[in-house]
Amino acid sequence: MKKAKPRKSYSRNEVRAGLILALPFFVPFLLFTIIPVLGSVIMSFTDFNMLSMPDFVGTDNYVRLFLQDSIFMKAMGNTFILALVIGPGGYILSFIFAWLLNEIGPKVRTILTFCFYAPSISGNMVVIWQMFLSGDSQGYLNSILYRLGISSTPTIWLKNPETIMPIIIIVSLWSSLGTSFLVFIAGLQGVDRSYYEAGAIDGLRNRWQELWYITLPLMKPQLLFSAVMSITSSFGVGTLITNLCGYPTVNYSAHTIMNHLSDYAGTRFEVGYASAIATVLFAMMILCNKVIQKLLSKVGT
Amino acid sequence: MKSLKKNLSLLLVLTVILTILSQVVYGTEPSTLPSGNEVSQIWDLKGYDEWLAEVSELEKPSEKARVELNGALLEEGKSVDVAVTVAQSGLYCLKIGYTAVTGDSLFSSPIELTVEVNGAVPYKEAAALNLSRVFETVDNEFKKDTSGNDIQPEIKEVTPEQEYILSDSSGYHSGGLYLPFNAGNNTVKLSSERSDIKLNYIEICPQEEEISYEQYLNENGKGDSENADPIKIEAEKIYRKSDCTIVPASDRSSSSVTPNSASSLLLNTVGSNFSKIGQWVSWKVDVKQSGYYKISLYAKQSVNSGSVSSRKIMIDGAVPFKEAEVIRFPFSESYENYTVSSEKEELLFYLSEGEHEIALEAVLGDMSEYLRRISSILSDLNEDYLKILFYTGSSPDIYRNYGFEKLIPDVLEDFEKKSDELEEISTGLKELSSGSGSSTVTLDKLADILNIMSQRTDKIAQNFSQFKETLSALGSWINEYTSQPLQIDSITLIPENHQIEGKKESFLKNLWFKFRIFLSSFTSDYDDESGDTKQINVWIATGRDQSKIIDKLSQNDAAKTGISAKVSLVSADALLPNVLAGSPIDIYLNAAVADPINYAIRGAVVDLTELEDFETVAERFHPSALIPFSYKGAVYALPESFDFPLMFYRKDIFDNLGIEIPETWDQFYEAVALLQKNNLTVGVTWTDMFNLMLYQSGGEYYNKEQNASVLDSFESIDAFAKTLKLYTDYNLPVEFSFANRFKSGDMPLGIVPYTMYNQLYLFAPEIEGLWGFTSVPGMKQADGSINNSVIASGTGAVMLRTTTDKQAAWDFLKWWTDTDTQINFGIEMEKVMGAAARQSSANLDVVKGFPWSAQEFKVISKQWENINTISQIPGSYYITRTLDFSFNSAYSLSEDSSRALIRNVKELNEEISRKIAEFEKTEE
Repeated sequence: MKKAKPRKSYSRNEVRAGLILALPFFVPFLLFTIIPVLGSVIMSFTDFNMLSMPDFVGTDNYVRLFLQDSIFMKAMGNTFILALVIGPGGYILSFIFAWLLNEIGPKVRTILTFCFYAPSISGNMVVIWQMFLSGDSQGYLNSILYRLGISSTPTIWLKNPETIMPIIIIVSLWSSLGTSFLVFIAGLQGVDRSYYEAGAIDGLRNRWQELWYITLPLMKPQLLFSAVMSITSSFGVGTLITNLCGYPTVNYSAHTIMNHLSDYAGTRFEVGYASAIATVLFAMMILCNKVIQKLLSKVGT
Repeated sequence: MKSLKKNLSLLLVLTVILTILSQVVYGTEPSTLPSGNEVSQIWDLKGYDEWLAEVSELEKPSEKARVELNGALLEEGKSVDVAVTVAQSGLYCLKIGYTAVTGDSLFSSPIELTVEVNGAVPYKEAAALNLSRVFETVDNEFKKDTSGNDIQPEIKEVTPEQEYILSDSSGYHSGGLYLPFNAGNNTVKLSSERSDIKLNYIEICPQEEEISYEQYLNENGKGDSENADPIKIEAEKIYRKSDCTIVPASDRSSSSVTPNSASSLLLNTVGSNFSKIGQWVSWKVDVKQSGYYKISLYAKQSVNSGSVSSRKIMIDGAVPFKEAEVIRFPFSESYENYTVSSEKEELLFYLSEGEHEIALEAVLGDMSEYLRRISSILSDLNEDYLKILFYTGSSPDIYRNYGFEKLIPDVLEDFEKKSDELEEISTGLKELSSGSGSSTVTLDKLADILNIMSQRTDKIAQNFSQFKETLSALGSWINEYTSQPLQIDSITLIPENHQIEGKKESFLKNLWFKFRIFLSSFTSDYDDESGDTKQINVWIATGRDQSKIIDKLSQNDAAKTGISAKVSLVSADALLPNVLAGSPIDIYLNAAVADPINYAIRGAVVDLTELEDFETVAERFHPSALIPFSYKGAVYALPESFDFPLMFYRKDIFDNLGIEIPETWDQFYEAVALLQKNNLTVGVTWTDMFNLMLYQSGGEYYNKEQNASVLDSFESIDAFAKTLKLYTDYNLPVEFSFANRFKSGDMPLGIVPYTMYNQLYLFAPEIEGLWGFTSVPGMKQADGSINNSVIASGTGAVMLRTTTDKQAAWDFLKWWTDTDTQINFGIEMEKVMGAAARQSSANLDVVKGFPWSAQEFKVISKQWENINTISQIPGSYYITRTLDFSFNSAYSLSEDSSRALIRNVKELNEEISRKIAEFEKTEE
């Protein structure tokens, strides 16, 4: 069989054709992603209150952010905790569920996939949680605990600084089976059966080894993609918290960087400062991504 | 401490004694008009049936006596005594000849009177008499707007002499009600609860019966109308009506309705609001040939399935014969030809040559007896429900053997009785409505549950919540079947021997018509070209109904004001980017309370004090309503809604437990304790409580210079601690659903925004009449007075700096906040969404113009005298989180409340100083 040689160079026509075909994606990407990000970075060096012209102040915003803003430190801490738990947690959960669903026949698998995927796309699923976690003494969780004799006074779950974080983690994980989940299912389907046979012949003893030596390396592209998705979304957790626990959360106990950002942009009208926060977040996310990619390249070895 | 205990126990003893006394002294006549807290005395009055049963052995003489009053003016809130002499003692009916007095605005409040005979109000119905006003259409040739749609015709109030027969305003009792008179001199006292009225005469007489149909035919002899032509009246050309909310409407659901057009909205029917008992509408008809005519209506009763709507027909103000008292309109999904007929034959009406007035009045008809019985069953069952509630609490333990046979044997007996009665009524109703099942489902279900509960007392706990729900369904059922909707397209007078050819609905014609409507929707221009009126761009973020109504109102008045509004419905967060981008927005309505100042300090809105006659406009509102929109002498918005808390209570529960309605906080805490002893609780949100405690003790949110918060002052810390105690020590719930719990009786006392009234009215119809509201408790001041001020909050209308014509925009704002416009808007909203959509307003005249009853309005205006608002300064948005964090730390984490508050206020003050510095920088 002739092996395809990797192409070293492309003719000028091919280059031009390639660029033109990429334009429909590239132009919007430039207009709506690259330029706003650059704009945001530039705005982070100004003082802008949205209703009058921006005022250049240099690195004042960054100085204030790192040295004077205690809420930002708390928000960073919260974001890291949430990112560490939800990111890898959601990622591994997606994979495990995808792997388990892979064993089931196609019809049942489709139904179950829908059941698992639905929470992540339904915008108002927080309403169910709010009903369940209502602080009313006749709310679901409170009345169940009361009837079981565990607690005799109603706890205000969504306003108690101690319970807010665990609740956010649980609800986030529950709704984290999103695009990555679908990608994993597709990826697992795409693994060629013949590899497993070859592996069995070569001496693989159990399912775990199958997973580590065959499945995962063959799924490297999907793993990478999902990792990027998970990390970015876990850093961007903000709306969920606002919808569930109110804004801002009591004592800033689940205040993430995104919340902090929308606080300054939307409520306090300090868009320059908010842009600074956004730029810092952006930098953090890129860093994390690089680290994850390094880790993932080690998979299968 | 000891003296406090002594005072409290003295108060308790006094309360107990007074309660006992009040049970003994029954039917005390109110010598002055009842205030909010005295309302329970009215509630103690008997119903008419009960009273009539007691006096049934009295004579009903056929004497008449009349006292001329010559137009004496009876002012609102006042009363007048009239001496009447009769020879025989006994039961008589009362007629009042009166002329209405037009109020300041078109929406004059309804006329409500109370009548007393010889110093006593004999029964409940005599304390709530509704007399009608008369509104006449100025010109029945409808004008058109620029899109070719009809504009509502103008109406004006006219004041002819009218006669009122004392009757039941709820319609449950048809005909006149009896009053007891002694032989010789009697005093009849008429008090006006609402509206001024001119009294012409009082007449007492026996109950009048109409003549029968045979007699009527005999009296009028033979008619001569064979050669006459049928006369058609379009129902939308109303001559006079009793209620200005009954307006012609456009109905394009069928091509048979006339007149109709596929491309524009023509007014062609009347009656979407013609449904309350007592409302009437009349039409003028010119009869060329005198004689007998049959009356046929082309109408639709498509709302109450399984039931009939009833009407009374009057010719020239009088019912011609008995059979015309009740004309029935059964349910039908489409328009039908209804001919006025009795059970046997079509009825003929004699009309002489010339002009006549034909009127239709909404009555309960055959349903009245059933509704009366059901509503008394409902009130008895409510009492039974309470008796059980006091033993079990709102969620009874299904495994516990309460021993109901011993505790409440009378309740169980009552259940059996009521179950049988309900079955009997259900059968009767099924006959009446010719078998349609849905109307009696609720009754059957309730009869079933009552049966189960009386036979098996161990099932009571299990069925308790279902019992409650079915009671509630029964309440809604009563409301539904009391309403008598009927939409009328046209009325035809058909000469005696002609055949009745009604209108026909044709499926194909309808289809073609609807298709033409669809086509024309592509060509109609919905944006109005204003012509020579100035266009104002108005943005609102509330809802589609509001935007359509504002548009309509603005079009209707465009000729007068020279302004027409182009209303755009946007999402709330679209405003700011658009202001930044310089979009041509003139006015933004319903801005949240914090927004105007927020935008003002960034120069986005216009200072309204700069505009001419600002002071006159500002006087319309409550003095404190402008405070949240003012900063440093400038005012940035005009107030629109204005909501404040009032105290709601369940009269029946309080009476049952013998608790007084609290007027001071000490009494409030007592009530809390007493209620909790009976497994009940009280609902107050901590924000409301904190505001009350703070402002009633003289505290404030901000200092005089308006540059820092004083929430760390002594008064504030004290108020905060007191608030917290209510939840930690007294264990009141922090989060609760008030409407639900109030309805189920679990929370018979609560301090909530007064607009909750409308929600409760619709949500809990089964406890109607059993609850009320009054001013909040207050703090006793050093001089003995009680300070019960509340905090009000609302929305405002702003003018944005992007406006192109300040004067025109200001004219719009002036028109918009004008009393008449606001009342009109509120009433239109209620027409669309019902009483739940009642608006609140910072203008007391507007509140008065809404359909509150006299009692209810009294409560609102009493609290009106004592309202504060919280100012907004740069950084105010931080307050919510300051208080939220402090309260939740103290409550959930048991942090010391003063420490939590002081810590958060420090952060708040830092934020405020930052914002003020920023503001001052931009000012330069």
